[in-house]
Amino acid sequence: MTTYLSITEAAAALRAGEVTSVELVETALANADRLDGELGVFIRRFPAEAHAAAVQADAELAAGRDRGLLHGIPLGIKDIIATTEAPATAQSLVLDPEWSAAEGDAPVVARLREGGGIVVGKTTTFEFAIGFPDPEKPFPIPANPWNPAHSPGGSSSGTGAGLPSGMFLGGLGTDTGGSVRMPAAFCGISGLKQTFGRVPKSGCVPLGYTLDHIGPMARTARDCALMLAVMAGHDPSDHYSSDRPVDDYLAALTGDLSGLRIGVDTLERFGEPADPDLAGIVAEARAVLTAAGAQVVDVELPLYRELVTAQNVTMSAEAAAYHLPDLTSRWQDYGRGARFYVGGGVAFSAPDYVQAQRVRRVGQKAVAELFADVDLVVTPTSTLGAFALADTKPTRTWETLAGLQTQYWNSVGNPSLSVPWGFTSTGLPLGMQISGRPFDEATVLRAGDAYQQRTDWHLRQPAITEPLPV
Amino acid sequence: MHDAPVAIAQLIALAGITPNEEETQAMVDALPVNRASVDALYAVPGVRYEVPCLTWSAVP
Repeated sequence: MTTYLSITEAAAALRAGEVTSVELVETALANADRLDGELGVFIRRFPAEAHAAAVQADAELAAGRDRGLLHGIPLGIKDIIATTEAPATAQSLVLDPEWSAAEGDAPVVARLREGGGIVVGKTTTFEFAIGFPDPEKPFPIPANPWNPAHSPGGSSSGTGAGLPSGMFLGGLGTDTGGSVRMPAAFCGISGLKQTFGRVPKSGCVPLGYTLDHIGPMARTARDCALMLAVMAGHDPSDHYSSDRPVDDYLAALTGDLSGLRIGVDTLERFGEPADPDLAGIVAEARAVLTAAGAQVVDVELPLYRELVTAQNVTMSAEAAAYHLPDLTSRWQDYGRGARFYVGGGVAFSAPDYVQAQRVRRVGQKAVAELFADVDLVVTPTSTLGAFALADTKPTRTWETLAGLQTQYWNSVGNPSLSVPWGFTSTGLPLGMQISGRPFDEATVLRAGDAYQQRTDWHLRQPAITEPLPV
Repeated sequence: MHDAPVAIAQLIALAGITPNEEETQAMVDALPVNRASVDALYAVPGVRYEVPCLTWSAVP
């Protein structure tokens, strides 16, 4: 079994003098030089800027100015989030570069930089976070490092693929219906959709105003906790962002789940297609959680189909409102997947949209009742592994994404984490989705970390890569 | 009941978008399934007198 550095490990190595930030960044960029052409991780890389930031990071650490555990760590940022190095593209010919230039750094990016994080590049995405990458457009097609004939999932595709490939140690994705958790599951890494409003989402191209999250992606739940601690908190530029105090997520990672009651919903009752190995994976995970001290019980998520529909209606309508002026004038400039999905939003009426919001309210109350009985809910992130690129159907989004079980938690807003829990019968990663009460990321991350202290799925590395040479 | 081709044609015209023949047919094919799912939202128990989860404030 080979290993590669997590943020936590790299932070310790930096402070022990075993590695420098320059070495971390150079290794990340070297891995990108070697694999990016095949995996389509980056829209654009910033080697000069990253190297300069790494030199500064090393100098600051040597001088005793320690910004925290992200200091000197190379990061990848999904290219629908604004950064100062270059205008965001949203992987589209349509996005106005002036928007990004005016934004500068999104608040969450500014926080990562203040914490010493180093942006090595902007990562690929589904177009506008929703459309399957179109080979007819001048953007890379992201591929899965575990099997490049398959998608890494999306829409945070490049961040998902770049992490196990050693191109950065942590990254940002966004999640409106599963776009952090799906690539996390498909690429064998950890990814968190925190509570809606926990992290400011200003400076990010919107897909669903009431569904969007900017979330951390990393090798481990512990690393996600570390990143969230830097990212979380109110910002006046995002009126959806919460001013609730930010918990000490790292302190919550005790490794012990004693006292917790965890509900498991396999979702088998819906007859979704599922990998033949999934049932065994779920059974093993139940045993691990029990061994960690949790009481594991069976539950059924309420209003499952209805809340998934509500998420779809909401996302379709909100995205259509944002895109209609460009859709009418630049239909051909959009990729086929993005324009079909967003254009399809015109099939939902205004009353449909409002009704979806009423159902979300009913659903939130029903989910709150469930969380009066359990502290966490576990489901598969997806019942299937990553789809083959050749099977992508731009006009059949949900058919291509059969098996995905993430949208429910966007509909109600609760935090939801995906961590690796095994492989499909054909060797593709699968993820366990751990969801909790609103603003209880500490318990969600505690469970993910406790699971990872007892398993090694998150330590596996795709054959296409080699260990980081540090 | 919906006449899907007519409904989609009208919706497309109203929105001013220009999907090609394949895309239009895919929208026609999706409409009955989507409508059935959306219609189910109006039948959710307890929703009749519920307020939307979106809030409005007079303070910008």
